Amino acid sequence: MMVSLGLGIGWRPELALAIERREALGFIEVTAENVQLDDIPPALTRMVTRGVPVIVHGLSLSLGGAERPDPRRLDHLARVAERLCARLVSEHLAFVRADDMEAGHLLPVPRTREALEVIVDNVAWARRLLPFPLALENIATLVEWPGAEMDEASFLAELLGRTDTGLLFDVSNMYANARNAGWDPVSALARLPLDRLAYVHIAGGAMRDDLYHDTHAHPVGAGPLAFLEELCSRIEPPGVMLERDDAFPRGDELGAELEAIRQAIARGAARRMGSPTT
Amino acid sequence: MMGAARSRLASMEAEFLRSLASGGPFAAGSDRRGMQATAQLLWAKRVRTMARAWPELAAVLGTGLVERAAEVLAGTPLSSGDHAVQDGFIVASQLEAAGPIPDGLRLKLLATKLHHRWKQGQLAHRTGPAVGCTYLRQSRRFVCALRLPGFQPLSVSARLPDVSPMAR
Repeated sequence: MMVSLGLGIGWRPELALAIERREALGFIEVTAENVQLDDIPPALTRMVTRGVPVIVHGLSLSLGGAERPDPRRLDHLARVAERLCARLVSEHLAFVRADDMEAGHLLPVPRTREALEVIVDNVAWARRLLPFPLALENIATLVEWPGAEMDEASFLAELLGRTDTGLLFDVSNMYANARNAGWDPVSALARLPLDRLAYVHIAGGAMRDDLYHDTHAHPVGAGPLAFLEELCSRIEPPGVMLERDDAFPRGDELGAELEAIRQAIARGAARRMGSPTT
Repeated sequence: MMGAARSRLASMEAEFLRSLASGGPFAAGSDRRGMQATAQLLWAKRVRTMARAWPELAAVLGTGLVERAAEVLAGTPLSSGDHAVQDGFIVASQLEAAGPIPDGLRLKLLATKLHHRWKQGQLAHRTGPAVGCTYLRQSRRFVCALRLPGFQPLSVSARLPDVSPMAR
């Protein structure tokens, strides 16, 4: 679906300096809701000028909601993507508002055939208004709707197939969901449309009250890294990126995290090609 | 067909979100442990984003911020706009009404009023000019500020002269 992006990172103002200092950076992902078009941070503009590929990431479209996404939000997403010379726009398979209430968080959708029809229509509507390719991301959730008619991977596969969208596969989100609900994430890989893979998210998490939380505030742990390796043993992802949203590390710690991710990708690639890890 | 499906989904998601926002009760048959954990997560995230947008509040309230936020914001739905700014504004305004607040927080309130106004029950970005004044009790200064769209706000301040009874 995409040309190779390599290893990237989610751009945040708190990490701007550390990101700018990294010479070998495949790409950055920028959150659209944090960008004001009349006040784009100079550090971000410099990354664009340097030619670092940008992906614009949305949080608020609520593609899994009961209403079609707001054209004003789609317009903002498109304008940010245009200004940052983005190649791709991504959003979540989630809902964030209902009945004039905001969640302030990505919430899971009921995995029923009826809900799928609505979400397919929402995504098709978004694609008509967005002049950029769109990739959809699986979310982390601590709660499951009762009466699911499909598992997470099958639901995602059917949605992507019917809307001709790419897959932003968050390995940490699926790892977290599987761990908390007690299913095997590796077996779910077989049901995911990996041929639609646009890029991959990975982030750290922590255990709290017997539940694994995908916090984006801790270093990436062994579990998500092993799952990334499994993914890379099956397919070469076009891009993999680290998400960090809190407890921001120093530049050298960030570098060590990126190196651990690179090594997991390399181990997976070595398994895929049947050669020993280097 | 699609209309009915949308209507059912709207009703399900609204009930789901309402019960999360209020921390329960949760519908029969729901994943109660997951709902409880998610409700706590939503609340913690709300307070954390507010504290990040209003470091002046955390400086005043310290570890009491969570408790105060719970008292003031309970039952207040999350704004569809910049909810962290709105939540902090509500808590700070309540503190201001209750007694003296530090100059830094008072200035933050003034700056927020220059950029936002109440519209249809929530804090919305101003599109027109705005002017405001406040008195900084600690430094004994009056500050007046003007904001014009597209420009940085301008402010002027004057220190009150020391007033003491005249010696006879």
